[in-house]
Amino acid sequence: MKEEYFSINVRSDRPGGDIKIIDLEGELDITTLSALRDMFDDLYENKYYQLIINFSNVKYIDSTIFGLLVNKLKISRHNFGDIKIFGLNEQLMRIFKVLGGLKIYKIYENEKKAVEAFKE
Amino acid sequence: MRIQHKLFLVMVAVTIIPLIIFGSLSLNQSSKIIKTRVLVQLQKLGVDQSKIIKEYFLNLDEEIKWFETNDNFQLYIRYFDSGKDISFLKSLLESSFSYRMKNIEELQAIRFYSSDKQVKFELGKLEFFPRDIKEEYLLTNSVFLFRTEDGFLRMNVVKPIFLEGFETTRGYLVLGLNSTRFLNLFDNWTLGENEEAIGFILDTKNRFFAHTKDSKILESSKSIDFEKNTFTDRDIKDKFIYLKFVLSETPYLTKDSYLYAAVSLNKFMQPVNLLRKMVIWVGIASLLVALFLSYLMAKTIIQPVESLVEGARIVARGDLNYQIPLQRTDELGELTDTFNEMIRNLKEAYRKLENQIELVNADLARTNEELKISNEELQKKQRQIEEELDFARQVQEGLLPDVPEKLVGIDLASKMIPAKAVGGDFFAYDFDPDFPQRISIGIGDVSGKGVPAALLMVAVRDQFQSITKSEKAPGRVLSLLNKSIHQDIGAELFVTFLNAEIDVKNMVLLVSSGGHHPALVYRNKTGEIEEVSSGGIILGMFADIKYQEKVVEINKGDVILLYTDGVVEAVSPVKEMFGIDKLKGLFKTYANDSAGNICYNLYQKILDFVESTPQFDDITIIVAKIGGTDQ
Repeated sequence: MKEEYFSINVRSDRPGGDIKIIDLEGELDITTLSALRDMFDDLYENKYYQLIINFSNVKYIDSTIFGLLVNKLKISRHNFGDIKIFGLNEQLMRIFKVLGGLKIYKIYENEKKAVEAFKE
Repeated sequence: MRIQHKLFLVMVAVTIIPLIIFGSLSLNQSSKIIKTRVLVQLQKLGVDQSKIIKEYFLNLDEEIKWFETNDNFQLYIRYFDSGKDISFLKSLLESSFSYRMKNIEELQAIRFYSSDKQVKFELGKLEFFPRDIKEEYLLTNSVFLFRTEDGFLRMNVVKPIFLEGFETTRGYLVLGLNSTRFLNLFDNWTLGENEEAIGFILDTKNRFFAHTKDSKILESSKSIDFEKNTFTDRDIKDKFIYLKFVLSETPYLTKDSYLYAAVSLNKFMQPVNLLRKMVIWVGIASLLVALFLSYLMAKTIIQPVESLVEGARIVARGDLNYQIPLQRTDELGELTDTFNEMIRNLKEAYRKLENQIELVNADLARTNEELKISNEELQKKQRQIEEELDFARQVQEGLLPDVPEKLVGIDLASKMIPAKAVGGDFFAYDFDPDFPQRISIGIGDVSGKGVPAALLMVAVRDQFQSITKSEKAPGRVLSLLNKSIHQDIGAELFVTFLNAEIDVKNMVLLVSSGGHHPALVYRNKTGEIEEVSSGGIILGMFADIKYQEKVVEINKGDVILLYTDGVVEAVSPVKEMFGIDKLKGLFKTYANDSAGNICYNLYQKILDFVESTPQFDDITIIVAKIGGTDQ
C-alpha cells in the first residue's frame, strides 16, 4: 500500500465480443466501491453477464469490495453468465482463501484460459 | 525599432542599393566602352601619323643625300691630303651653304666637328647648336632635338664625313635645321569629333623627342625633367591613354623609337566623372525622397495604428466609453469602425453581465443565508450523530462479554478497539456453568464499517447467542447462523465468522469458520504455530451452506489466538501492513506469558506499528491459554 489510486477499464475479448474483460488497477476499498458498482450496473444494463476480472495490477482489496464482487457473481450466474478471475497476487490469493473466495470463484492462470473457459 | 525606422530602411534599401549597384556597373561599363572607342581612334590616328612622319624623314633624307653628293662638293674634297689644313672645307661649304639653303628649307646652320669633337668651323646661326656637345649628340645619321636657351626646339641632323685623301680624319657634319616644319606634323591631331589628341616620339631611353604643340603636354610634362628629355613609364601610364607605333625604319631615328598617340587621361575620364557625379546626386536625391516617403507613410499608416493602439490601451484599462476618433475611408478606417463597434458591444455585454452578476449575487446571498442555516443544522446533526455514536460505542463495549467466572482450565483474555466509534467486529461466548471446562467462542467481522456494520453486528451476535442455546456443534451453529442472516442482510453485506469450541475436559479444539482468519494455535511442545480452519465461505451471501468442523487435539500450555482483519491489515505510516508473519512471530515470543499479557503485548505492538496512522478497521484479539483440568 504505497500509493492510493485505482483505475477501471472495460474491454471486449475481441471486437464485438460478448465477453467483457475488466482491468482493475491499484488499491480497491470502500472509497472505490461506488465506481465499481456503477461499472457493473452499466454492464448488466447492456446484458453483459460473461465477465472476466483482471487482478494483475491490483495490490489490495478490502472486504466491502469482496462483498460487492460476490453479489455480482450471484447476479451474473443468475443470468446464465459468470465472473471469472485471473491475476491474483499472493496477498489477494490469501484474502480470497480466507474469505472462501476460492470456493465460489473460478480462478485462471491468464486471460486466454479464462476466455476459453467461457467458450467450452 | 519603430515601424517608421523600418520603413525608412526599406525605402533606402529599395532606392540606394540598386542605385549603387547599377551606378557602379554602368560607370564601369561606360568607361570600358569609352576606352575601347578611344583606342580604336588612336589606332587609326597613330597609323596615319607614323606614315606622315616617315614620309617627312624620307624627303629630308633625299634632300640631304643630294646635298652630300653634290658634284662640286665631292670634287673638291677629293683633292686634299691627310694632315693638311682643312680650312678649305670651310670655304667649300661656305660657298655651297647659301646655295643649299634654297634646296633644304630648314637648313639654318652648319657646324663641323673633328673626330675629337672639336669645333673646326661653323656657318649660319649659332643658336641652332647646343652649348656642350655630348657623345649622344653625335650619333651617326641621327636626328636630335634640343631646347635652346630661348626655349625653342631645334633640330640637328648629324652626318659623318669621310674626306678622300684624309683617311685618318673623321668628322661630324651637323646640320642645324629649323624644326618648325617637323613640329607642324604634330599639330592638329584630332580624334573623331574634333577631340584633341597628343602625339610624341620617345626613343629607347624614353627620351622626349618630339611632341604636339598642345600646351597640355607641356603642362603634363612639368613634372618631367624636360632638360633630360625623359619620361618614365609611370609618367606615361598615369597621364595618358596611348598606343605605341614603331618608327624604326625611318631614316635618322634610332631603331627603337616609338610614336605615341595619346589622349590625356583626365580628358578621357571627363564623361565618366560626370556620370559618377550624377550617380551621387541622384543617390542623395533618392535618400531625401526615401526620408520624405517614409515620413509620409508613417503619417498615413502608423499614426492611425498608434491611435488604435492607444484606444486599445484605454479600453484595456477598463474605459468602455472610449471611441477612437478616426475618420478614414480605407482599411484602417474599417478597422477603427470595427474596433469602436466591438467596444460598444463589449460595453453592452458588460452591462448585461453586471446585471446578471447582481442577480446572481442576490441569489448567492440568499443561498448563503440558507446554507448558513443548513450548515448550522448539519453541525447540530453531526454533533447529535457523534453523541449517538459515542453512546453506541458505549453500548457496543457493554455488549462485549466478560470472561465467565466459572470457566475452568482456560486462561482467557480479549481486547477490542473499534475503528470509527462503532465497528463491525464482535465476539461472544457460549458458556454453561454446568460444563465449566468447555467454552465456545464466536468471533466475527461484518463487512463495511460504521453504523450499518455495527447494527448488523448486533443482530449477528444476538443470532449467535440465540442459536447456541439449543445447538452446540460449531459447524451446525454456523450453518444456522448463515441461514438466519442471509434473510436479514443487504445484497453486498456479509459476515466472516469463526466458532471455536475449546474443551479442556477432552482436550480438543473444534473450529468451524466462514471466511474468517484461521485460529492460530501455539504448540507448547514444539514452539510452532498451527493454523486451524475449516475453510468455509463467508456468511450471509448464500443460503443453505453446510459448514464443516475441524477438530484438533490440544495440550497444556498451548495457546489459541483468534483475531480479525484489523490486526493483520493494520497499516504503518509508511503504508506497510502488519501481516500474518509479524503476528505469528510476536505470538511465539509472548506465548509463554499469561493470556492477559499476551493480549496486552500484541495490542501494544500493533499500536507501536501504526503509530499515528488513523485506524481503518476494528481490531479484535482473543487469547485462550490451555491450563488443563488440574487448574
